[in-house]
Amino acid sequence: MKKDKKNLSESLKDLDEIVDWFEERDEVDVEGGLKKVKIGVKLVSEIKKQLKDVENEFEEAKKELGDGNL
Amino acid sequence: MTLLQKLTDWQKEQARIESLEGYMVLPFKSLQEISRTLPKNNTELLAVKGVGPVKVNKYGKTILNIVAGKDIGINNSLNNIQELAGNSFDDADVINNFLGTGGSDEVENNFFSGKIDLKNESVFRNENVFENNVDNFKNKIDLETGEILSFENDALSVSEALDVCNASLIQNRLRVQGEVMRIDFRERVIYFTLKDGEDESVVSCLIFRNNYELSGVSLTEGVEVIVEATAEIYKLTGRLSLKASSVELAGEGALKKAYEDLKKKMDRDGLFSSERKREIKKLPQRIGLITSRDGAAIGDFTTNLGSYGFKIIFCHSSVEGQKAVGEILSALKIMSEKNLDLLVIVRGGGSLESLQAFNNEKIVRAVADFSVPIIAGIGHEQDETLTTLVADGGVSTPTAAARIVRESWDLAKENVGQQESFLLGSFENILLDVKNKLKNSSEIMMGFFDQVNDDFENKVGSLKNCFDNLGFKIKEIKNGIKFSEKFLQQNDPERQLKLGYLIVRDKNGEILRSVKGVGEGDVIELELGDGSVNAEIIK
Repeated sequence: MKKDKKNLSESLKDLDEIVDWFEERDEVDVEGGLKKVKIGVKLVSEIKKQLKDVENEFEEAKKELGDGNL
Repeated sequence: MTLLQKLTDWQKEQARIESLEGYMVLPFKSLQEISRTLPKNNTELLAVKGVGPVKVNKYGKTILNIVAGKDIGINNSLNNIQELAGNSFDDADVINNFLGTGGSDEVENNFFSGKIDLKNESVFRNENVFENNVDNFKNKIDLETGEILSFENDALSVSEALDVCNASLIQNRLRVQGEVMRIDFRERVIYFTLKDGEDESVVSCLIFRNNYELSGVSLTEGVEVIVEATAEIYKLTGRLSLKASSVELAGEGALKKAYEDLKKKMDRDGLFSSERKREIKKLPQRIGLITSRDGAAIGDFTTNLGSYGFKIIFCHSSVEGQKAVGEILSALKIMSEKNLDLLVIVRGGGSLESLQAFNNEKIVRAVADFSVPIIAGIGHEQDETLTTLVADGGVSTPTAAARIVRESWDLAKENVGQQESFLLGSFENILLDVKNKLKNSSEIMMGFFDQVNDDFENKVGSLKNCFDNLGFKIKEIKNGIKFSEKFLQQNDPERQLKLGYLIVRDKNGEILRSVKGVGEGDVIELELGDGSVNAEIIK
């Protein structure tokens, strides 16, 4: 993972902002919306990837817990 | 093979022959000292700590031979240390303890030599007797067996005769019960007489004060006691007396009373109060264990301890009867330097008599004053020794003691399990939240365009409607125009002219609609489809 890449919670925060923009909009700004959607879609796919990584790590850790004779 | 190895091999073999523990033949510490000091004769051998005249008599020749490098033809066998190393305890410590206490060996020697840690002069006096004996031994008599080794005269001297007698007498360790009479408390020794309960036989007894105090019994006339003793003839008076190493009350009734009395006294001193008891350290690791290595209690305790990586520092002590007092005290002393988290003392159940060491005031106070909390698991369910009462964790069996030791570990294990599911569950919830958020966010973003699209489509729709309306209107207008056109066409006068109709005008240019307006000779104008001509009315 690239160092300048945002972490999951930062990405989620950005996504929140975008969603807020859409929800607060009274007038239709298609070009603006398109720009935001493009960023949003990229964010969503990034987050999904990050989430997958986290999930995998989590499953591994869970398995380790399960294997350990505690 | 080093000398020490040879010596331990011999010790082991000798122990096997005599069905004893190795340390009972000679403590390992003594073997070490022998291998270091290389004694050449009995006198030098006697200087070794733990080697008394009895041992010299019994093993001196063999040991000196081994030291001198003569083969005594023993089989190689494992030594004690290796044997100990095979068990599950803290090996180094076990060995140290083993060497440190010398187990019951030292106490047994003390019985003869008076070499108990608690030094006093009577002890030295006792040793002097042996010095004399040793001199004799060197000349004539095997003190161990009483065998006369060489004669210088036909007859023995009185002193020699008594030595022979004493050598035989010392072979027998006696346990004697009788009624106490005529007590004489001296500074270092207590003299008393024991009387037979049935036939009036009497015997003189003496006990050194330190042993007496260790016994925790107060001698009064008329009390029925049991002494552990050997008989000896005091050479200066020729009188036989029993040299007692311990004294205890005889009979359950007397023991019970002594127990109750001491219990009351300790209770008054506040030794049993709950405020005085220390909390057992949570998750203890270094556990001191005092019990007999031969009893069932050690197994009961260790097998119920669970596998929590305890470091068990074991110190053997006999736990049976009055004679265990000294050993338990020295074990406590050793344990006090072992930096323990807690100390456990266990033994199996038994009669009040066999448990009496645990009702001994010195032991009870030592337990109360011990540096770390003590768990006592002594006896069966119904037994309640004073040691149990004063211990910080007093329970009635070795198994229950093990349960106390492991309790906090069991709890921790359980907690870890709960925390584990909580942790996993919490994180799974977080993951789920994020996923939901992603889904919602995506829906909102996509929804925006759907919305835009819908709006647009709506607008296109309305526009279309407008166009439709407009088209319809245009068509209508068009139709109207068409109709008007047709109508106009149909009503165009020129069309009539073309069909052959004509328009007639008078000389004034007015359209003639009746013949009455004109007469003969009037000129009229005829307008045809493609022009007009003038005509004259003829008639």
